[in-house]
Amino acid sequence: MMAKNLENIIARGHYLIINKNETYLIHQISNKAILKLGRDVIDLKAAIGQPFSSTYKLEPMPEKKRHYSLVICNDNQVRNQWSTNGCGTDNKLITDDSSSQLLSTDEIIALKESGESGQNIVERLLENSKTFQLKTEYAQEKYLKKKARKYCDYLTIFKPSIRLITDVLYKQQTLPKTIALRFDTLAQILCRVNLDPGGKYLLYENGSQGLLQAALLNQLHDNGCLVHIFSSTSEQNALRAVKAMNFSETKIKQMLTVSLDEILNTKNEDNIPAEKDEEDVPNCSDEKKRKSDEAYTQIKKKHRPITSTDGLNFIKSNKFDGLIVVCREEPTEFVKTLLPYLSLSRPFVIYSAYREVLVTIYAEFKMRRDVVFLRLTDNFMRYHQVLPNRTHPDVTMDDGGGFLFSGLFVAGTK
Amino acid sequence: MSFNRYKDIIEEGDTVILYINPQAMYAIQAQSVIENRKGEKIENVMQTKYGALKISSLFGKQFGSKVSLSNGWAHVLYPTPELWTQTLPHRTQIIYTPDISLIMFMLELKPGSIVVESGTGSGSLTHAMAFRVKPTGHIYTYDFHEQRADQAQKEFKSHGLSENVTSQCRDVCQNGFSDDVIGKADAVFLDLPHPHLVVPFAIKALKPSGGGRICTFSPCIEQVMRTCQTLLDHGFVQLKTVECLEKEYQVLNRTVTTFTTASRPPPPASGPQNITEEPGNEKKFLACIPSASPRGHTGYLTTATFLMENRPQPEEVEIEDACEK
Repeated sequence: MMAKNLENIIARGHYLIINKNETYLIHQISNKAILKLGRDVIDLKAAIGQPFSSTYKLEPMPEKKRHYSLVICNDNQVRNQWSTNGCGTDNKLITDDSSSQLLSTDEIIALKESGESGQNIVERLLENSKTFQLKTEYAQEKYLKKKARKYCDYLTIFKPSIRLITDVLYKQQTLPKTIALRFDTLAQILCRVNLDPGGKYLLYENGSQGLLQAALLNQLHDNGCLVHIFSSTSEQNALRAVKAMNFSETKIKQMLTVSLDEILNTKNEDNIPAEKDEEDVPNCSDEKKRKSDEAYTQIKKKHRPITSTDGLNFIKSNKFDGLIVVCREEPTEFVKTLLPYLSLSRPFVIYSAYREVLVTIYAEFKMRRDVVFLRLTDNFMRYHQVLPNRTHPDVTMDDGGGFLFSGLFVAGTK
Repeated sequence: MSFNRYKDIIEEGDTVILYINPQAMYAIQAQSVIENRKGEKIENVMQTKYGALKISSLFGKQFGSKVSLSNGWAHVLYPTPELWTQTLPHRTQIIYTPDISLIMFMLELKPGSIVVESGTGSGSLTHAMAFRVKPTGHIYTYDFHEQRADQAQKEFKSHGLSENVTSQCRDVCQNGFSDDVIGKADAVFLDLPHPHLVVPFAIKALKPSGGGRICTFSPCIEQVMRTCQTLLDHGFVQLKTVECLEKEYQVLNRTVTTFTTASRPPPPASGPQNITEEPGNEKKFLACIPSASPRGHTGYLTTATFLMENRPQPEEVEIEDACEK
């Protein structure tokens, strides 16, 4: 019980999800416990030892500009409440002539630097606004929200979860360098692969900053196991999401890593019929062709796949409960190589940002007798603004969820 | 008994999915003998559109193997929650896999999670959640319809899910959740006509340490509006309402006639048939065809996070609970 409670307490070295207004970010709390957020410097010391999911008020430090310390403030009922004194019905009396605020910019800055509380600053702004009372109640709400964000800030520290990390990484996408996996797509991958917490899973991932590994590890119980096959062209910060989850060492050990090259090599050693090898050659990516032996050993050294032989043996001596492929490459040949390692009646799921890639593999798999329930899908996903009398779908929509191809591996004709 | 963990060999009593094609999948109970209408014990033989299947012939076979029907063949599959959702007997409108995946993701379910669900319905989501939180997690599921709750209870037992699922008949809008979940839940899922009435009870069920998640599924936007207002009033944060529809594509070989011949003078007597048969005038390609009438709406999912509240309330909670008894 104690250990469980400790997991919920913020300690130095932990990764946190920091939420200020609409921004979320992954942050590792260091010894100094300083967070730089835009031009602001925030001292997080007050949060150490506190439980996750707490909210803090940003208190300006009087001696330093744009430096803040945290004061815990969990009663969210009292936050940002200002009395408004009636409202207008429309905006016909409001003109944009920059004269509605009686306080000058200098006066406002002076107020802010005087160490006055944000609550009071906003009150002063309201008192000195000529037009505030004329605004409609919706416009007042919007105005207050904007001012609160500027002068009266709160920050909430959440325990990192796959949901939050997925959103943070999705917003920081740099296509085509990384895979921008949207939360609904990731959710569907986990469902399509029918994740069994005690199962053994094969994953090839390249480009999602470790999001897939983190999500799968998170879903595995102590007896579950994940083999992560990585490419020698892996991106920087490949384990970002895994680190952010604050996994225990035993948890991390449930994941074995194997280099892709090793897998493709074994295939040759195993004397798989020659025709299959030939098939592979024209499909090899240019990059693989270019790779000389020398370069290959260098890459091997660089990644030091310590557990790779274990992982390789593990793959060879086991049957898996699911295969997940999330990559930027053309996956057909690779998937064909790995399918036989699945137990019968087990699912595979392939993600690609490009439908065309999956259409090709679908057409090829349709001819196979050992896969059924083939599905190619994408999502229509949109958020809704839900406000009194103003409920409608968001005006912009995100159509970048990518595509999924999935199926079940079964006994072929024999 | 086959729902609680993967198994390889089919035994008597297992549920098996008979897969003929994506449009023809059936959940079958692997029982060699069943009773007919007269109450006599007879050999269990299933009739499919490709002929008969003697159920006892499945015993000892591997999940995933191919079986012969008198006029064709099929595969026998392990009943994953996804396949179960496709084949389960409907007692109510059910939640399908695209929404299920989002619900489980947004509720942050993982092994060990304690989940409160209402209503149980046909148990489509319950099966998926039970598989996701096992072996240490638990789903407490409530339905106000007595017969449905009973049926669900029996089904969970026969599927070997009793360790991870507790099903109860209870009107949670009126009475809230049972005492055994107070302060224990990591997540609450509501799929009932008035979710906003249950929000205060959901707060009691959620762990007081904060960070717990709530998700409501409502087909109508009016319900969503009431729910969102109630959630905001009770201090929930990270409110989001989303709808998600899965679009499925078929991949087929298609041929189109090209216009190269249009410029040529048409052959005098032979008519238009000849033109299309000329190989040079055709282009073959792989077509990616969206389904003709996809689902246009299922429901809105509203999710939110419960923050730690330091308002002193526990005493009040206890009094109210006592009243319920």
